[in-house]
Amino acid sequence: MQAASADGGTAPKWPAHESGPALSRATVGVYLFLASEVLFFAGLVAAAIVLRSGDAGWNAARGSLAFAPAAAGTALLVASSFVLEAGLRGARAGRERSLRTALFASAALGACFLALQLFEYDTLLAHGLRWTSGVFGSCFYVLTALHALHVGAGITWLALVACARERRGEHAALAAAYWHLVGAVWLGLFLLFYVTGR
Amino acid sequence: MSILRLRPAVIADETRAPSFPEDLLTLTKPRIGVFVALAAFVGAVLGAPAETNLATCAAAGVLVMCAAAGASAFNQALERDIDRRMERTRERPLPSGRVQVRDAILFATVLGALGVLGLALAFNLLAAFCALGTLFTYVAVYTPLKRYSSLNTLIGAVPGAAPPLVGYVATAGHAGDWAWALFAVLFVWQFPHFLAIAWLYRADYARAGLKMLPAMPGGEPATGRSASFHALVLLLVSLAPAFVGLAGGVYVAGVVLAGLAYLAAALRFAWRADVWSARLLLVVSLVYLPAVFGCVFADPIVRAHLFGGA
Repeated sequence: MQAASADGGTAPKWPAHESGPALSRATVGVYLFLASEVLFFAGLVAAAIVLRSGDAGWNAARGSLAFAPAAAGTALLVASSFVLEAGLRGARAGRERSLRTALFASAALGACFLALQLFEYDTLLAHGLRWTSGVFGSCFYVLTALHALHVGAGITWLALVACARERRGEHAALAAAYWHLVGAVWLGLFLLFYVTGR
Repeated sequence: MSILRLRPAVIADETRAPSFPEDLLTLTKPRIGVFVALAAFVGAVLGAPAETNLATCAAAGVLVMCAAAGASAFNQALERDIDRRMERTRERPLPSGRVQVRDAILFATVLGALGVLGLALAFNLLAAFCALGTLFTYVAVYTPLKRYSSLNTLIGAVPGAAPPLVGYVATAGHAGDWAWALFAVLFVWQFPHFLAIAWLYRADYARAGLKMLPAMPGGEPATGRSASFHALVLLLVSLAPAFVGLAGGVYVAGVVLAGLAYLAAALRFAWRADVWSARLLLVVSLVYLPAVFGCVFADPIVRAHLFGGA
């Protein structure tokens, strides 16, 4: 924050509450990106909740969902977040290897989640639930597919960070923030489609 | 006189650093928030079906204010470098380093999501998406554009005029005549208002490299002319509700009076081009809006009492 005088400003009148290290532009950029993701999914989830409350056929269509594989997928995503945090903690303690392992492990858990979801799609399509078949089908496929795209992007990001040679800790912390957000969005979708009905 | 000096109103005691909650409040630009809530409330009352109570309309106003507060906090997170270079803004929470950028973004996200989700669940999806679109236009289009083009004022006037429209849509479920009429009034109203502010702080804006008309080469003499032109256009636009039969004589008398006062202040600013005429224009602009809102509601009531019919 002391660079102010260089571009014509003056030093602040009051000292900062806490003088942490200044965030890089990339970090702020990722935080803004995450904020836009939150608002993006907030809009979609709000739409789904409102559409659900007005759709008489929702509960019947929901019956073809398979709870157990989805719950297993949820557990995988939650576990991957904990693995990632453990790896970051290890890196702060100087264990670079553990971070790399955690990054690959989280990416692998995410891939297992996607595999389970593909399996779920296959079963549902066999049952005749399509994204054109009613409000439930539209909401379910649009939201879960958009989320799956985010999981795919997260897997790529985690793998890229695992292969990075420089400043891996900083990059890993940002990728982890994104990964936790993707996991939190899934928890919301799981509640919306699998746990609660109309 | 805090409005005249444009100091953060929440910092009453200038001898000590503001606390963290005070800083968070400053991030929401609370005085703009009050105007946003008022405008959205007025829109909600006009759009409401007969059986709606005022508390529902107030809730719509508060939710729209939440989204606007989030937009203000995002705006300050994006402009922390610019704000550091301007005397007017360098003591804001982010440029002074009292609030971390990460915390500000988190705070803004929570406010924005609260407003959007609240409008969707308590009112309707159209209102929620109008609020989300307004937030997006303000943060992702207007805010970056300020560095590149003086057209930013034109683009920024769209989200600036949205609150009564969103409030109306919240209670009515669609955008009716009054919604567009108030949108148009607020859209035009902003030009003299922001031109006066931009003229007062033109040295700051020029130093920060923001493309505001008074801060640009040859822009300073054009400022007063532009403010006067828009005040004149506003006078005509504010009469539109009377032409389409939404409002009657009391409304017309009120807005003509208020509009002439605004126009006179703008002309005086164009003629004198000094600090006092700019500040007067600013004050008149701030009185103008509540006055017009008052006319909207006074019109049917007064006519009913005077002439016995609605």
